[in-house]
Amino acid sequence: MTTSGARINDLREEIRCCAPDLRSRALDVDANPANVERHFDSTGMRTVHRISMVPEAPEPDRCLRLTAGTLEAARGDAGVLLASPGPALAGVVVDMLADDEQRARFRSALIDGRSWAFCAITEPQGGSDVLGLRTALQSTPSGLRLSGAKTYVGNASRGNIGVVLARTGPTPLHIRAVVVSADAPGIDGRALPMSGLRGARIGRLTFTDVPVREQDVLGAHLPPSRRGLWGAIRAFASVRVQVGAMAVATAAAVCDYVAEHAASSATDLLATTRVRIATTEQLLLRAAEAVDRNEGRGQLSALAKITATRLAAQVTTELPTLLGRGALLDHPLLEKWRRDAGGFELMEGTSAMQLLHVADGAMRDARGRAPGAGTVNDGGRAR
Amino acid sequence: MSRPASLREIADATCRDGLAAGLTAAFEHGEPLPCSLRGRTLLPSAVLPAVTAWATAGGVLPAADCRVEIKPHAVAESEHLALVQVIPPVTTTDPGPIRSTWPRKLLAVRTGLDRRLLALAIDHLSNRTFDGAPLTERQLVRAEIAEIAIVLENVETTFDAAYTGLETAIWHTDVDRADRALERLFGAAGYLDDHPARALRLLALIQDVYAPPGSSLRSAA
Repeated sequence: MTTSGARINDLREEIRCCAPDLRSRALDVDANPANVERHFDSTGMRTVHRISMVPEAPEPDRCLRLTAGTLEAARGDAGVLLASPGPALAGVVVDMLADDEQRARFRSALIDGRSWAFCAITEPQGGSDVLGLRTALQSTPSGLRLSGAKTYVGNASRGNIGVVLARTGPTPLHIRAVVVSADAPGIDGRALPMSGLRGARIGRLTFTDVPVREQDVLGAHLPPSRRGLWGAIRAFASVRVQVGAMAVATAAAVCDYVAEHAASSATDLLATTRVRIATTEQLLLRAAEAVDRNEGRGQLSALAKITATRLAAQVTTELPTLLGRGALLDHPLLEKWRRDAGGFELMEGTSAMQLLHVADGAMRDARGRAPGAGTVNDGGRAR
Repeated sequence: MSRPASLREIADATCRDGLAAGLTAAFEHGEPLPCSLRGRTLLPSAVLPAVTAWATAGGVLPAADCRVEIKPHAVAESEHLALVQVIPPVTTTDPGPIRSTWPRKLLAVRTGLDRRLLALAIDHLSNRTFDGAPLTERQLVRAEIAEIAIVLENVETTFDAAYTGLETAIWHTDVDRADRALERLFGAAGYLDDHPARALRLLALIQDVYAPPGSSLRSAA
């Protein structure tokens, strides 16, 4: 086994040990998502915070580490994982685009283990269509000002720092990510009544002439083509893999739970399900490695996310039936995990969006593999 | 006593007035109301006083012999439903399959609800844009809408004939597919507890009690 492989296995083992603690808090967090402070000092939340913190310096296998950790923590419970203080999805963007000082400032805002970060991308009108986003970062005589609205943002009402995607002009090159402090004037965050994944405290954010310092615009140290959209696309690919990891881990949690409570006659279906969970985990880990190597354009992560979310939807629907009539009412964890599974479909792009990514990748692959590809005039499309 | 509502009437009531109205139309006086193995069930709040028997894990028990506790469930209450815990007088054992007309009636409720939500989804998507065009112009979205329409039309065609439990189970599986497509059409908006699509999630819980997979095989045709 490689050194990297051993590190990943050690990490998984460490988080596996705290999964039961996370699960023991699942129903309380689901019922009281606005009051999770009583869980801050638990083994589970402390471990999640430590593992998820943005590292002091970039790590070459960051996506793989996050994915491996998520596979174990979310097998305890994805809702509690998302409720745990830490950088959440904003950390992925900061990790890819921040300079050393920005990274240090972001870390210091979250280091106490009692604070969250938000990552504001989706907008009320255009969803996660990044190219069509309207939130504006404008230069004014008194400095940069941020204005617009975001929705379906994790930690919207409780984050004390966050990353916001906005545009400074009309083209994709004008898209920028900025770090903002939640106590800046002009920011308002409200939680939404989500059906599942309530621990994520998903909500709306509005920005009205929010002052932004030049040093809080991410990516200024990078070439112009890599400052905004490029980093966002890479970050989305990474986040997609994390969402897929939460989905497959939820399927695994359901499988574990049903195996513990079902009659022995159900073993065939459970065994088949375990095989599908294991292969989907491997697919996600491959996708994470591809993100770390900056391979492709996120097609593998899209494909892995679709596979994982479909598996979660199927497992959370079908396996509870092994426990008899009305199992969803009799076993609240199964009912919660079924609701949570619906959320994975929506996080970081629905299946319809992911299918478009997968199709793009498949068409590029097919053209690259066509007889004579690259040796004849193919319009410059062959790889 | 009034005649039981036809499947088409049940579907129409659900489409017009929502989930609780459809379930109320499907409720037949005197028919035992199914409960989970631990005695829980969801039903229209208005129907609760009219229940005369519960189909529990211990068998069919007269309502008068059982204690009923109403449990808090904000989402159910917002759809005029009640979550109840039925407590039988004595500990009993599983009596085996319960004959029930609910799998067929629930099929009608589900198609009525999907018709109601499909109209809302189309309206919702017409007002959302991607790359400058309404989402209803997108091929993938139109295909989803078409698939839902195909399922609903096919299932509704079965309403006027008698079919076996096996066939009913297959159509429930088809409606499962339509439900998932509807949820995709609503996107994150439909994932809110204050959105009408919450009725789909409640109906899934009801189906798990009234017509769980396999129960259609033993339902009354």
